[in-house]
Amino acid sequence: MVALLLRLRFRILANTLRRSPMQLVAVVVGGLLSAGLVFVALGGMLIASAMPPVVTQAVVVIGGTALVCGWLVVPLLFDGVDRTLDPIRLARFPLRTSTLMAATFVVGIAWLPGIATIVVSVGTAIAWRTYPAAAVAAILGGLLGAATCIGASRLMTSVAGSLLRGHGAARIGMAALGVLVLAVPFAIATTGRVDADGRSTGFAAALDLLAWSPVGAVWSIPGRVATGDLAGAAVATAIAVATLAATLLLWRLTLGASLRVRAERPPRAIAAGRLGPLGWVPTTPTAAVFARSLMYWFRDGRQARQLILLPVLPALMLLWWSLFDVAAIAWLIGPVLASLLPLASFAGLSYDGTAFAAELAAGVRGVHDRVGRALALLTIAAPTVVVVQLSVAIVIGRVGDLPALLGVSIGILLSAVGVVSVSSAQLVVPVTRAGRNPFSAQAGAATTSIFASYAVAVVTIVLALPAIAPAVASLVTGIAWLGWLALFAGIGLGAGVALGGVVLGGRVLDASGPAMLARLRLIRS
Amino acid sequence: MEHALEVRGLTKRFGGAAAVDELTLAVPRGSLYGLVGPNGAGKTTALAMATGLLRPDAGVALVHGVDVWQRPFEAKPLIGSLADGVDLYDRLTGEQLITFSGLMFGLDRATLRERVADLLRLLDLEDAAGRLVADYSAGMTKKIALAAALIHSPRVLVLDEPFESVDPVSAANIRDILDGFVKGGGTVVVSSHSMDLVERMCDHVAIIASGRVLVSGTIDEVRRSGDLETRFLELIGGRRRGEGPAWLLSS
Repeated sequence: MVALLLRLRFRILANTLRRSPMQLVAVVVGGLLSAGLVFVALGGMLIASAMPPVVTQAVVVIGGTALVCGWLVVPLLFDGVDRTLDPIRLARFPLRTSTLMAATFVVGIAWLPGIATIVVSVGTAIAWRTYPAAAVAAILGGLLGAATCIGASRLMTSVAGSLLRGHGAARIGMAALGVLVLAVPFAIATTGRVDADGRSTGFAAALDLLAWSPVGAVWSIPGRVATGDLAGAAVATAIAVATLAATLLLWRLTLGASLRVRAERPPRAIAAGRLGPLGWVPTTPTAAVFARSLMYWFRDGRQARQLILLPVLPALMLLWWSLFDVAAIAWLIGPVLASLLPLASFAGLSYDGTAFAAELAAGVRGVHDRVGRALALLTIAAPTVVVVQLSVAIVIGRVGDLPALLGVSIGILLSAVGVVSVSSAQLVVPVTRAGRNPFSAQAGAATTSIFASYAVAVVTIVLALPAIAPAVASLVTGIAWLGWLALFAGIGLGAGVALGGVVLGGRVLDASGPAMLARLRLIRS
Repeated sequence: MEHALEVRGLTKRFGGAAAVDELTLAVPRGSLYGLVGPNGAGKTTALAMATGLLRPDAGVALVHGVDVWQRPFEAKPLIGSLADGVDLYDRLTGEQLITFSGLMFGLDRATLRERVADLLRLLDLEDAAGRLVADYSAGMTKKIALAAALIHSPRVLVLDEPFESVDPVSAANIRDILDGFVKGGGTVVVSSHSMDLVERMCDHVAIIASGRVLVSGTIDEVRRSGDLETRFLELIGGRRRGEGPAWLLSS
């Protein structure tokens, strides 16, 4: 049965590639990029192998932890992750949950990211090549680590899937679970860190805690073997195995829960007469689009999922900052947060799907649509960015650098809004259609959407450079007026880019609207 | 007199095959015009092009003399469109969805409130007003989409399969609404698979196959002496005699 499902998955992949050459290009580029990353990682480990064991251990543990965290976060960030074997779609066939899990697991392994992960994980043996016993441990531990990565991503995909379909209590429960899964390792790390006598022990203490945490333990095994700490290696192995088991168990539970949520979908009632923002906005097309767009950010699970990250991401990054005491991590919080929501909607029309026909039929002008959507996004993102940036400045004790920090964040937010106003008038990526459409997942879609979002990110950064450059200069040199320059550049030039993007995007949409609908129809069918 | 809806030489190719092939049709003002045709005849494609949702490869579409593709922002407010095969913003409640449509046309609050209430009542959706459209049945979804198409009081209604999965009571109510709309000077174009319904409801009809109009005119002109279905089968052909596959009922 697993073999059959695996064949199905590659059949679908082949068909998609045949239908669209762009997807093929994306897959090839994705393959080359993966190969490149694997090459760099293996090279890094070769260099690390020549270092003292402590350094090797640091490189492997941090790299491995980052890998696991990446697999945890990616399903939350990107839609269009491969859902060929979405359990919901297969629910009408008589399959055991365990068969389904085995099949999705194998599918997760047997594709570019999975292969790359396995190669890199097992490749940690290179870092320990001068210690034969440790190298063997690295191979076994690497397999365990790779399995944890795949399991973690499946767990998060399942959680994300439930977020898409669930409502009310189920959705909140799932969100809480997701946050928990993300936060537990870090919470353990921090509590441990407090015991470990604050910042004085610094990097070594943080690393030590990371090496005992569920996400890091598995990567620490060979290093412990190399230094002769066999008891430590045994405990770390136990933690690693327990982590994998817990991940698989949680995955199974969420899978069951998501299937139940689907089956027992209760009708949701909002009292009649409750119009939400639609009830108080001005009676113009722009305001209509604004109100609907704003409501969708909260009510459409695919977009609401991004909102979860708004508090989670700064918290995690602050934690990293406190662990490693690198100021740059704290400086990055604002810009990362500012780019999060715009980047999530770089192909925003995809979330509308064919419902976009309503706007097209009503003859809403492109610029009105763009302004409405941009305002909805800013209504959520702007206060969040400002509040988070204020809090961060206070927490890291750099209130004096607030102009620089705010300048760079606002500059990036506004620039990104401008850029996605144009990109989303042209780009359509396949996104989940609330689990309604059996067997139409577009394999390779993840690759396409990730590349497109890279491009959008690069353009945004280039356009925001007038704010980024003085801000960085001010933060590094401590010259105050450079910070103020960043603030003015961020607000002034950012607003210019946003405005230009909205106008240009409006023109583009006026021309491309019908073509966009046609493409949205293609994705739907 | 200019026609309510007129398309000339409308053509759309998907890949090599023409879905709509130089389709020409004129819908007189104040008529209730039916479009019938087999599956894949190009009805939906043609209506999408006539309402500004799909750009034609060739041909023109005029609504009350306004070119839909040259002057879309003037033409579209004249049209009330119920498209087939598109989703709705279904995370809104029914009431919110119609309100959203009204706002896009810039209706003021008082008008909006009155019309939303009227439409919900006329389409028996009052009880479902506060529920998410995602949770509506297929028939209710059709009705709320129809309401969204009516809210701005268009001059031409273009309805693609408006009666699909709608219950008989609601279908009768919808027909009353459409009759009233036509009496008030509006024009309705409906596509349907149901010959019966078109024959009873419409005063004009066009039979479409392979992206072309085979015959069009008043109901009487088209059906001649027989009924519409007989004439349709005669023109289209493709009836298969005999039974279904042998295994279908072999218990």
